[in-house]
Parts: sequence; C-alpha cells; structure tokens
Amino acid sequence: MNALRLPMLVIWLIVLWALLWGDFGIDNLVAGLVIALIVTVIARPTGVSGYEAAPFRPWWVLVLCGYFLYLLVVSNLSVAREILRPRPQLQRAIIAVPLHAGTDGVVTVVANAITLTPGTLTVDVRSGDETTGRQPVLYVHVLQLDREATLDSIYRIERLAVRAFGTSEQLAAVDAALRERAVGGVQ
Amino acid sequence: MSDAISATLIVLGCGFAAIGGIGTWRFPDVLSRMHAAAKAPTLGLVLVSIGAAIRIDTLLATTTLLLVVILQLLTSPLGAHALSRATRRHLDAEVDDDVDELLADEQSLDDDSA
Repeated sequence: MNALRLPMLVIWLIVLWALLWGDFGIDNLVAGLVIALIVTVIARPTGVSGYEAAPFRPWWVLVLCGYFLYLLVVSNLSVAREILRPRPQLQRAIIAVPLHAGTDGVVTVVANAITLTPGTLTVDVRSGDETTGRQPVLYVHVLQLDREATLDSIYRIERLAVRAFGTSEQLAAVDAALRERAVGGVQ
Repeated sequence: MSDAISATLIVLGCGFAAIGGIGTWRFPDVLSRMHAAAKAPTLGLVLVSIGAAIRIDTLLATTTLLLVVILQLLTSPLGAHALSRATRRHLDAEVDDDVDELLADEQSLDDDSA
C-alpha cells in the first residue's frame, strides 16, 4: 500500500493542474506531469513523523470523505440552530483529547475534521512522540460540554483516519484503546 | 427543473453564509465565534458551488467549482486553527469558562510532558 502514496500524490497534482487550466488535453496533462514530478521532489516534507511509512488506502479515504461530508451537514444544522435561538444555550469548554495514533498525518486529518464537525473546534495540538510513547493531544473547544460524547465522536473519526492513512499496528492499537474505553464506560 | 434545483441550492448556501455571519456577531467570545465562522460559510460555499455547477453546466465550470470546494474544505479549518490557537495562547483568561475539572485535566496532561 505504501507504494501507492507517491503515484496518488502525482496524479492528484496533475488533476489539480488540469483543473486550474480547465484543459484536459494530452499536452497539458504532460506539462502537468512534469510540474508534478518537480513539485514532489522540491516540496518533500521534512521532519513530519511517519510520512514515509504512512500507507494510503483509497477505499477508506473515500469512506472517510463520505463520513466527513455527512458530519459537515449535521454540524452546520446544529450550529445554525444554536445561532438562531433567541438565547443561545452554550456551555463552552476546552477539552484535552489524547489521540491513540502517533503519526502527524493522522493527527492533521483528525484535527481538520474536528473543526468542520458538530460543535467542536480544534484549538491547539501537542504532537506525539513515538520514541517516548507520548500520545498526541488535541485541545478541542466545544459549544456543548458533553465530554464522553465528544470523545466518542472524535475517536470515531480517528479510527477512520487510521484506517485510511495508518499502519495495521496503529489500527490494532486504536482498537485496543477503544475497547478498553468501552469497558471503562460500563463500570 | 435543474434551474429550480440550482436556485434552491444557491439560496440555501447563501442562507448558511448569512447564518455564519449572524453567529459571528451573536456568540459571546472569540472561540465560540470561530465555530460559526469556520463551519457555516464552508457548507454555504459548497452548496452555492454545486448550484452554480448545475446552472452553468459545462465541464470546465464543474471542474473549477469542484476544485473550489476541495480547496475550501482543506484550508478553511487551517485558518480557524491559526486564529483559535493564537487566541488561546494570548487570551487564556477569556476561555477559562466554567470547567475547572477539565482545565485541571488539561494541566495534568501538560505536566506529563514536562
């Protein structure tokens, strides 16, 4: 799966190029390919943990996108309701949300998704460190304080993000952590 | 028929953009306002783009609008992060609402890292 990452990136850049020009002719696509290759060499991310090793699973990326669009609509309806209420019932708070997946890529995806989904806004992030086992932590601002529900919805996004961009060990780790959490919730 | 659909989508989209504006004005503090500013106009733009794509109905317009939507979805949260992060670091007092327990929790996590 790892081998898919670079080709997917190049294809995306070519599509982007063609869309910007509005021209899907073969000469334009070739020009796009050249630019895409140059860009992927020059703009290689440095210092991003787990970037090289990160898998890319197209099917789960699609599922993630679909779930995300659904959340975007739901979130807007709920915020709109709050905005239009005569007296908004807000119970604001900042919650620290420890994530289970270590890589910066997954944390980025989750942080962005949180901002566009119901009642939550990523405010700050403390990045994780796999060598010391330090968990990444997101600081999330919520409009309606309900710690468990917020954590549940964020972990659901995290699990999908790991399925799309994480290794199978990470997925296993997330699953184990979530099972533990479910058991803890029952007690 | 397609005109009706596109008109509905565009009006809905404008409605969400307006709601975002109203929320930015009505909500009580910077971070709450960011919720309104980051989400509603994003969906608004998506709806307007879909409506416009249906109305204009050429491949070029559709692909360009698709690009607008994708880039908006990718970048809108980033602006919100940058602003709220700066807010949190400089105006800590303002966001210390009524949640001592959670703030204590947050503190202990910070201690772990030290």
